[in-house]
Amino acid sequence: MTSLRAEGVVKRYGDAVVLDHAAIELEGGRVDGLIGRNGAGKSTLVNVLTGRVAADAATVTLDGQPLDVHKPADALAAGIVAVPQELVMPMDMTVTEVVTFGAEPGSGFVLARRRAERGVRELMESLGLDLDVRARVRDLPVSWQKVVLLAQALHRDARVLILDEPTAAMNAEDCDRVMGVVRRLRERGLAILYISHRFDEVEALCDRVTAMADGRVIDVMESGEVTHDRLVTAITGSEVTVERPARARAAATASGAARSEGASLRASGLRGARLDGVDLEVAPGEVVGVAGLPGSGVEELFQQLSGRARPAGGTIRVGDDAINNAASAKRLGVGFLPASRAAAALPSEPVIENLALPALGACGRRGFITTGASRRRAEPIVDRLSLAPVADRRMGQLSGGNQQRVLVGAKLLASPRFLLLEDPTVGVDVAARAELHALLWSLADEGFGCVVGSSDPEELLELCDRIVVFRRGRVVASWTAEEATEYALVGAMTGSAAASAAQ
Amino acid sequence: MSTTMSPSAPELTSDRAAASRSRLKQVATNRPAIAVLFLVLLVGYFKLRLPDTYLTTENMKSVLTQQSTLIILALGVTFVLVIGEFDLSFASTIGLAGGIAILLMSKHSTSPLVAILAAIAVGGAVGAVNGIAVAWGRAPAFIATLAAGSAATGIEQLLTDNNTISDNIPTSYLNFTLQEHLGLPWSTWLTLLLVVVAIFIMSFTTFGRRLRATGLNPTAVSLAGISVSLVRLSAFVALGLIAGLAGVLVTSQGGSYFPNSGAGLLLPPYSAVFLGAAIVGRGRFSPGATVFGVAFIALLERGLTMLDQKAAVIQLIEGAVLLAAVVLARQERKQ
Repeated sequence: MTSLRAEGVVKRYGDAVVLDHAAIELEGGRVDGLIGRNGAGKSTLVNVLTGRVAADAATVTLDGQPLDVHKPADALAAGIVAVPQELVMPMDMTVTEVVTFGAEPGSGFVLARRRAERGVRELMESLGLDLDVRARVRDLPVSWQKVVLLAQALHRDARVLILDEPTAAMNAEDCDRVMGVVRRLRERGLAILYISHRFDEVEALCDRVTAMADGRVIDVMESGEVTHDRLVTAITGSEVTVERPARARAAATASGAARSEGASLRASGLRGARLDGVDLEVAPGEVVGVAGLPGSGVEELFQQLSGRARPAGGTIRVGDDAINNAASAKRLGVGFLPASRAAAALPSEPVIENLALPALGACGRRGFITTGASRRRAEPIVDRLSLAPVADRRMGQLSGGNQQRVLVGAKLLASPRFLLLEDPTVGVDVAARAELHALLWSLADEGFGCVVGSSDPEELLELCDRIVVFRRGRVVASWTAEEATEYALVGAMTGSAAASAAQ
Repeated sequence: MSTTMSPSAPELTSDRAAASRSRLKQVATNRPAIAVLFLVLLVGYFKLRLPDTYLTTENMKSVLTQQSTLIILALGVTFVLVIGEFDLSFASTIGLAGGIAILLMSKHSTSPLVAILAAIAVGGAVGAVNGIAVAWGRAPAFIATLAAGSAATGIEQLLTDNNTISDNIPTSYLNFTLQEHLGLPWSTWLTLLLVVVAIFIMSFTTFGRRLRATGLNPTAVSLAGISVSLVRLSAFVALGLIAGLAGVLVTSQGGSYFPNSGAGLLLPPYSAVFLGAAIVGRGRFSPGATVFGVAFIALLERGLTMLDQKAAVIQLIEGAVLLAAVVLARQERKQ
């Protein structure tokens, strides 16, 4: 019976300790869950096991024999196969081509195509799957594509299978299909490590769960000990100390009268690839948090609200005017800051150019534009965000927090009424994060409506007046800041049984 | 045009219409059939206009022999495009390789066979420089191959002093592209062999599959424990070797070395490859599609020339055909 043990795994990047004597134990015929927040060290641990990251210290044994993994090929040779979260495969190839890729039947140079097809068909049948092995993987639904990758791992003689969030971005039916295949693989005696943020799946599938935080293993739940409570506690930490609200809520309520004056941003019945009938209303002066794991539909919500993607159903309105495309979103004063700062900024250009970019029309005169003009135009924003010291530096030289403030400033120059921010504080240090929050609150007090998307419960609890939780394309919970707790929030996002029962 | 299951037909009455539409769709998606249809229409048109001269063995043989260089270059370019890169150096490589072959025979009395192998090796070396710069040096192919090509032209001019060389070239070297065996010169037989080899490699070998996968998703290739850099290198070397051979064909056909002989050979192979990919491959590159692209352009060009069209008009028509094909293929893929 296969057994993989890793003990005392240490990995440092400079001063930062990413893995601090982490350990994991896998056994054939068992599914081990691995949970933890983003940045807990799960991915690094997996990368060490698969030879993509060299650990500073580690003892790894496979079936009791010491195992040295220095490069990905070593891990493959030992039968350790990781299936990444993204669907990494040549989409234009057929099922057979993808499954056999890198280990094609044949003489080593000339392919034996019929033999490959027969082999893959038998493999699929043994997994209880009825799949056309000549179909192009592009034409398959995502769950089948994931299954193709699982079959590929099997074809590569995997004994230890590492699945990184295999069901992220899938609906319930697709999840069931993937989990069904994982169960079959367990029956075949594979040792499986199952990384997931979805506790409902972890509870249903895993025989044993390891929880990590800050590079350490903080809890190991043997079979029968896996409970909703222990899972959520492993994520939120034992002591629940949330300091909030820093925002002067008295002021917020005082301006309640002013708030009702402007029109709201109102979405109703939104549908799309991942959205399944979503209603959302944001009033001027309100900071609304949208919580959800990757794939829950939050990304698509932002795409649709900002007019970048057309909803398959439903409407988005500001007052009486509908948002259909990016131009109408801009006209109605909806500004969008995507999660990837790199996508929205010109890193090699000075801050002032970045500030002027979304409002070039307003900065220039009859199509001509001068640095002086954009500088004059941006002046109030630079003062307001105290960007003067960095105004002449290049965008790429700024810290993440300052870059984010420049991007917010750039949106303000286009005089919006609503700001959509997707993960605004990713990669931003604590102090800069607090500053950004203060900025958003002062904007809200002036009557801006803000929508903040994040998968970080702490941040949302700190920042928002109201929190809406998404799971699998639906709004599953909605709380005011006072009602919400981190425990409930994590429960609703991850979909563990207890949380859904509470609805 | 996905081939996934269509939802069940809404009404029984529209069943027949749906069936004929699906049959039409089937024909429309059968790319090789469309390619043959295009060629038949093209040849048929010229056959009507030039009943006695166009569709003759002599004429077709002459098209094949004259376009040998274009065919092999287009095949080489296909390999590099398949891995998602491209190469702007091969026209310079042709000049350098051809120059070296002629120099060896003319000044050093080397045997033609050695000269030919030397030219091919030089081409491979330029390809290796490109491949190393792109795969390990992480240089953008656009600028890396432009630079390598410029350097190759520099070496060519240093070696030949920019003079035409025509003395002392063995006749057997000229016969390589001239004297017919079983109806065709050796060079043309070699070209046909390379067509078969290229199609075989791309469709029936692990190497071909690695090339395709590298173009589609390099991460998936490295996850399989395969070196993406080696795959990239091999594609550039393949094109380099072919450019070396093309240098031999050009100088053998011309009977001499003249400076800058590769100029004008850079863009036609790309046209042929893109035209073939657009019509046969729905935008995907493959040797089979490339052969169609070359055939189409060669037959069109020959026909227009025989109709006494001006070179400028021919160029205009070819450009329009290519542009239309590429745009249509994009639109089709978007659906």
